[in-house]
Amino acid sequence: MGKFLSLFKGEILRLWRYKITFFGLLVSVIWLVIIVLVSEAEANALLPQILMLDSGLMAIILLAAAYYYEKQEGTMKAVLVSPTSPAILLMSKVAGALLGSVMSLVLIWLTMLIVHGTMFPLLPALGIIILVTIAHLSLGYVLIYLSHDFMDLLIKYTFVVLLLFVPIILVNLDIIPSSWQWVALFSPTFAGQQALSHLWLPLSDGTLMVTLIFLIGYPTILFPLYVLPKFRKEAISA
Amino acid sequence: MANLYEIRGLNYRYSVKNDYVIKDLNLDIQEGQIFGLLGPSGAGKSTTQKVLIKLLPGYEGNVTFKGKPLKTLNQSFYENIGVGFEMPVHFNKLTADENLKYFASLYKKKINYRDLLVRVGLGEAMHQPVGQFSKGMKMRLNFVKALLNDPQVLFLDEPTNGLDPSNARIIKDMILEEKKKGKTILITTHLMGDVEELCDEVAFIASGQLLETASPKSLKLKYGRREVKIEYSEKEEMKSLILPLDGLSNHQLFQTILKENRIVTMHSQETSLDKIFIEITGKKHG
Repeated sequence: MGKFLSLFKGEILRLWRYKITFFGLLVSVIWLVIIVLVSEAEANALLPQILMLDSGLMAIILLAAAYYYEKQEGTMKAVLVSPTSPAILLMSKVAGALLGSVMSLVLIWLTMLIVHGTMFPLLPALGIIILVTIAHLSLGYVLIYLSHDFMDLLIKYTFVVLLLFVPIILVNLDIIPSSWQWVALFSPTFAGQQALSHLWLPLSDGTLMVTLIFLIGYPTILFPLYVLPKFRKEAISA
Repeated sequence: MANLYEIRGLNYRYSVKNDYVIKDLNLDIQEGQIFGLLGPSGAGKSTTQKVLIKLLPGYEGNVTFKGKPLKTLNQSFYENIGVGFEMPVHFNKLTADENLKYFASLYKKKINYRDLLVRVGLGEAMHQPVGQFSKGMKMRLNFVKALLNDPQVLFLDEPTNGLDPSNARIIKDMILEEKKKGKTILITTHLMGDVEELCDEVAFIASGQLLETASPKSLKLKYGRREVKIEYSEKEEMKSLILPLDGLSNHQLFQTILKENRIVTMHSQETSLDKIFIEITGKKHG
């Protein structure tokens, strides 16, 4: 636990100094401005999408930016020759990325309270945001491993974002019949949006359960079977 | 002295598509010595070092550390290992102090790293972002980082690379002090002056193969030519010749020169490690 805390503290300092936290907050400010400018009903309608974009898709970009800075400097290699396991190092990086999503959620929650005088349930939102962020971070690592550099990642990311949004578009346009909507849950972005929507328009228990299983499934499979085994090799190739 | 590392039949390749970069390497590294790993660029020195510090686990052959297979050792192995990579690895937007504080927090054993920063001439710069450091300053910080946990085994890759003579002197003195404390130090370098000054034993590697292991002194004896270069003036004309050192006093030509000419200079032709390096690594892999 001590090692994790040391690494986590270091990660927070690093994300701050490399202005990754700053850019994350800057994006949050954009969401806050939107929330301030629209009515309470419009804000409530937009929030699942906003939270999804912030905790899912933005988290991937910020993770990648932090990763490539570190890869450029070769510092992960230096941590790997310390008495720290790659799993703890990876956990500290995930926790660092999670903190950005949590900060953004809290800011949005406070803005809704102050500007519109309404509150959405913060603790369930926090739980869902954590699941959404971790699911997207697992995909983020896959993208990082498959990319040569940050530019290459951005190109692949654009394609993946399109792919993740296709199920949302198909469901919204009623192209996918409701009995087949579970297929769309293979997109963690759709699953995340579904789960976040539950905070405003509750889903049936069964639908919520399936949605959460999909969200939990991605990191549960990807982190131990793909991301962690390749983590050391990717880190030392820097 | 006991063996710290025993390397038997070590082979390594980065992927199955690639050729082996280390081929059937057999080597013993004793505790308490400064061991130099030498060879031309791309010889496999850094790869060997990465295997020994467990950064490259997928090797073939047997490597033991203090008698235990290296592969069976867990992360606590690193509590007593210090590594100074060839390219300094630091968080450039953090200060030197923040960098060291971060890495020091990962070890059980702690030292007062600020004293070391002062010793290597970075005392006043410790609160500056490392990105503002010169290459030499980064190298010195790299060296201090390797000592953070007061390690029993120190791996240094080109430790004086990019340093001016006075800073290189400080680092070399500190390396010798670490040796006096009983630590084992593995150095990878191209600088034969450093090797001669620091190393108790050296191994020459080329194309992933071990070519020679010996002390610098015995290498000089083995490869050195016991010769003497004489410059003399003969009828106002400068001439020079090289004669064997052994039996010089009875050498007829030398006797003649002594009697009939004026000797201007006379130097023994001791073979430098640079020449030995070229001879050993060039002879078989040139």
